Amino acid sequence: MADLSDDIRSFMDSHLNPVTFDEVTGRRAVRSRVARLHLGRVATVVVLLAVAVPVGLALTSARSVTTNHHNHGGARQKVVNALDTTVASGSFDIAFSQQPPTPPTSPVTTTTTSTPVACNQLSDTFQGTVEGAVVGASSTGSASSTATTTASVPTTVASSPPPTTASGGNRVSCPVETLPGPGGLAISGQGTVDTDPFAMVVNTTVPGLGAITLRDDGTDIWELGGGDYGLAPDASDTGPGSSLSGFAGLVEGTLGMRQGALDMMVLASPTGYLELDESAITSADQTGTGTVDGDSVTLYKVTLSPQQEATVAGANTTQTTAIDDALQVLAAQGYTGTTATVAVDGGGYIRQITSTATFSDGSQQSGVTTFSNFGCAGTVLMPGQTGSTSPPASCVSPDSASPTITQTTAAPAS
Amino acid sequence: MSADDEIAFRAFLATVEPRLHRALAASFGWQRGREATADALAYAWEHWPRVRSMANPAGYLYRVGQSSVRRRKVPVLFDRPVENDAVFEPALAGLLAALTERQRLAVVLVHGYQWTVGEVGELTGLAPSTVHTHLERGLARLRSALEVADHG
Repeated sequence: MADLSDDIRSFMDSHLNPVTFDEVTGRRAVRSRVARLHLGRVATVVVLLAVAVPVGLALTSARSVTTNHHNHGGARQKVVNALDTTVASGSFDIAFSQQPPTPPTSPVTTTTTSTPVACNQLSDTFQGTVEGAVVGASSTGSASSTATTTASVPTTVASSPPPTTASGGNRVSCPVETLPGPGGLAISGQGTVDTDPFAMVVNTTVPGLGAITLRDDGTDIWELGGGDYGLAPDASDTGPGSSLSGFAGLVEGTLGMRQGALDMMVLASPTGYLELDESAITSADQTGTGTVDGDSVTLYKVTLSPQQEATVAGANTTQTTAIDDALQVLAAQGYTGTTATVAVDGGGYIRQITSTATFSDGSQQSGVTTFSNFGCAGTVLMPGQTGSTSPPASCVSPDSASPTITQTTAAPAS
Repeated sequence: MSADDEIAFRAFLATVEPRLHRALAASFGWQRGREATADALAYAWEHWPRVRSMANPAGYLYRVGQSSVRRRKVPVLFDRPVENDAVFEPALAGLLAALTERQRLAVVLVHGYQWTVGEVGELTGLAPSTVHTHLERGLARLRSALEVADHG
């Protein structure tokens, strides 16, 4: 084997040309320029935020339309660079909170068409009247609805809310928030995002549904708790997963069309809660300084164009479909865009995004997502996957002075 | 960056580049490995104050390089050198390329460059026992394939 050892070393050394100091330092400028030129292609960049929630997850969203293109290049570029740095870390932890949409402040005609609207595992048919329209849920767990309303208040259930327990012993949980309209729930939670390959796990507690763990690999979803979406029948915590786009019905059914669709944008983002796309940013301004987890940060106000959000670089076909679907729902709800405050620390990492999505009737939905443990969050596994979930033993996140504490990112074995 | 910083970075470069470059080349091939090394070191240059204070900067930069490569989605390839073919086993390029990334990393660094499994683990974040497992499996596959090549 000594010969093999020598062979391997000779083979590898035969084409190892050292990287020089000049190459490294010269590459710095090249990288910056390339990053600017390729942002659209790489998809990467830029901001966003948003928020989310999968059947209960939550998130923070940020998109907005603006007619003023205050593209203060320096601020915008810094946000783009921070996004790039954060994504390049490979993994990070998130903590989020999300508020339900506020009531509309002005009358507006909204056409809502949704199919299906689902709320977990429905075993009994129920019907409720929504401003004169009929909303039904079948025993298959889904329902279609079409409602045209002129509302000065949120469109909620006018009749009695559906049952919360099943007469036949099966779970039925379809609170008023499951019906079209602002609805929504206050939700908070935490999780971990791996950026390459993409994988995300989020833990949250949803009022009425309890604790939910959601795993998202960019194509499929596994929801432990809530509707147990993607899990095998009768299995406690394993299963083959189900499509990302098909999850929209549950999310929007649980959180309402607005909050739910905004959350689907996050679930379908190639960077999860750190939803970024340079092309969607229409402006960025440095607005001040602050602190996040005790660290000094610079604050940037960013506006995102919803018209640009359909094109997310790096999104796969499934993610693109889910994003398109969510944008259609949002458009029907009168979504006009999102503004976000992005907090960037001295190391160039995005530490927090506070976002507010706005609708044409004056309703707003806000959320906050805090990011930490960059590069040291470990590997998120989907059910059935095996491997190490731990970050390097000596890993020290740039935002932490001490070695990271690993949280559980492993999934149940199939 | 101050003159002192540049001096310190040059020293860092001289120490870290060979190991980082070998590791990334073992994982991703010469071309992608070199690109990843350059990307990672450029990152270190841009963030030198933070990188120099890290307990394990090489390990951190290995991950930076890893992310850099994986975002490009280019196939892993070891092109057979056009020169010096006689210096080593002709089938080696294909055999190494056929190993998994971690097996190749362990085989090249431990068996080829005489790193300890602990050193590989420190750089990559893998447990030494995991590195050892990848090494054994990789070597077993190489031995088996070389026997076939020798007798074929």
